[in-house]
Amino acid sequence: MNIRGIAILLSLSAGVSACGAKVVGLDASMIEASDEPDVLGIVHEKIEKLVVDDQRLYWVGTQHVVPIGSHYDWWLHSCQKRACASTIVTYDAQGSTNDIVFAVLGDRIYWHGPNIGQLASCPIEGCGGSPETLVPWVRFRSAAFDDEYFYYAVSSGRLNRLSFSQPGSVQPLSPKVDFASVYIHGDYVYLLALDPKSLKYQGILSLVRTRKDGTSSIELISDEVRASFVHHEFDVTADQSSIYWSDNLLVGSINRCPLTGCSGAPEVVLAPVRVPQTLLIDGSRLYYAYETKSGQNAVSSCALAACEPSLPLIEQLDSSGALAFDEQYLYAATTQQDADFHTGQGTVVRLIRVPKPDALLP
Amino acid sequence: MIRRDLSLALLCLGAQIGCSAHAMDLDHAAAPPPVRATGADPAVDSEQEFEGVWVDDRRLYWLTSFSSFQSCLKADCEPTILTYVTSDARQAPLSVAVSEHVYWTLDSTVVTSCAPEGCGSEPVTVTKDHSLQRFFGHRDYLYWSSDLDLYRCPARGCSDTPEVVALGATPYQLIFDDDRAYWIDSAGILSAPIDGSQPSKLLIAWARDGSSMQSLAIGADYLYWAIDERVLRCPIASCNATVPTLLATGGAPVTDLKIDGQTLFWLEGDLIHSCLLPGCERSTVLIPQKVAPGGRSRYAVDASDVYWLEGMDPPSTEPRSPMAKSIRRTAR
Repeated sequence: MNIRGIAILLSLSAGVSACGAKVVGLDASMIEASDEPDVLGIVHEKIEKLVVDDQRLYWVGTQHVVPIGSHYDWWLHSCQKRACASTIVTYDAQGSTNDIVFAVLGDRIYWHGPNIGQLASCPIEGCGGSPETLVPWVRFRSAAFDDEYFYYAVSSGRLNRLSFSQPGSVQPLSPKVDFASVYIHGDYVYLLALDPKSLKYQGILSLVRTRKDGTSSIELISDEVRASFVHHEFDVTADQSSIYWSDNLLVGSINRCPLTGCSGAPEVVLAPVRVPQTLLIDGSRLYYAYETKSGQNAVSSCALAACEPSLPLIEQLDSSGALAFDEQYLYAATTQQDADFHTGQGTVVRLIRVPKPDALLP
Repeated sequence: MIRRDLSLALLCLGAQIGCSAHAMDLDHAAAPPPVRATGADPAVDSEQEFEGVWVDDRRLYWLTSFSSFQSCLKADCEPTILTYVTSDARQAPLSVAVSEHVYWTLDSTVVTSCAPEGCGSEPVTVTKDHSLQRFFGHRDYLYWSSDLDLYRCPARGCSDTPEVVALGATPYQLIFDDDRAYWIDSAGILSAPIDGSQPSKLLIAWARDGSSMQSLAIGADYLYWAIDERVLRCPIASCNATVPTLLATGGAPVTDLKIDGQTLFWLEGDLIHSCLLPGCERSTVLIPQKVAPGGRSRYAVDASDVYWLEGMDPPSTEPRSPMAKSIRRTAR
């Protein structure tokens, strides 16, 4: 499966927007080789999001600036899967208090550098700290990429898109609605519509969609999404027939509706699950990250037809987004430390890979 | 039996979470500021301000601002003072709840429990929830509101996921009878089985007339609540089918309803009022009384006495509200 060509939303946990422009050295975060089996490397940063393609592993690592608060340094890295520690590339390094979004499209990596608001790009082999700036300034609450466009929802504003080929022109796709969790699938953008009458960052919310070219109205998928954006990640994913999301509460659940929307209540795929967050679909198998207890994340999976959860495939996941897969392996970042609180320079995180459950079958 | 249950319900007092704090100490912690217990009036006084007072059949509990959560035996207080937890004065206030167990959090995330008689070797971590809002004790369970819902776990500690008591419920106050929990939200007064075995139901719809529901209490199969200056009640079995009965009308907003036996208590400003049930024909103002403003549990009642945080005027150079430096008591 070639993941590289697929639009990937990679949104890190949101902080309150603030301008904290700071340049962080590209070499400030190091990677160490490891003799441990299945360990690709050891880093000293919290890995917030992980992506793989055929050749490489990509991630955003962060270190909070002391005193721990909303400001952190971040690095956007990649390495070759076969010799990670000796092939690390750092595309960008900044200080920020805001979202970081990146995607790998073909032979380039695209990202939004939140401190100065630029949308930037590099060849995946790296560009020596001199990325191409596609758009010098753009702000958003949530964003995603497809092959041609950058889609972004502005806080208390519209869903817009920017063309990579003509990045100067903004195309509005929706009326003003407070959206979050932008996700691209097929010809549609799926979004969560936040309720301005509620607490905004938690509540019973609506999952909606609109065509990527803006030619449709907003269509309701489900108005029974129970989610919180305060402490945990919310995720949306899809397969050929359904859209799935994580009700990311302490007693949470994974739910689905047909891509065209539910006529009634959503179908519960799996419940109860303690704080389900990242969802990844691999054919007919669902991988999901969840809490085993506070500060301890794990990954389990199930066959989507009738989701019987596996025992944890990966434990001590560094963050819910530190999970990816390719044809043979699951990739993850793990830590022995409390995932909620290890954020500083004492952080020790292992980049690992384990065979996928299906790969173990005869 | 009824008497015991009512008494327990009175002790199921909620704790509103403050902001972050980090240090946690137990009995062997640095000594909290001196607390003196007297055999008479005042019951306890301190160099620190008191934030709350609770009482059960045997013990008197108190919380001092930015400092410590303690208790003593009512019959012999000073030699039996017990410190459950002490926080650094620079940190956020403790949040606590008292029932058959004592509960507290220092960091707005981890709720710890102990037996009222002390923690023994180790206190128990009941739950760790980053979305913790308020928590309550009842019998052998901790109840708490999280992002959207109301959960519970045994006081001895949670399994992977807690039990869901009610969806879409994040109450400020939670009270109990034998089988059900009750709370106020924007729709009115709601109730659910304490084990969450059935969905919650609306007992009393809130009249959209700008009035404010302040407090709930339960006694002898009746539900009592305060709206602005009024105290009303309805039979629990038929609250949603009967017109509430007006029991009392105060001269100021009524808060902090409590019932013990056949007596209803409430606060009007800094005055503790009481009346005899079922009719509550005549209310009495307790004397002496000057309950300190604010605080999380400003008074408590047991079978024989009323305890309250005594408001003391600050020095004239300090433009602030009266300070609660004493817990006083008087016979009911």
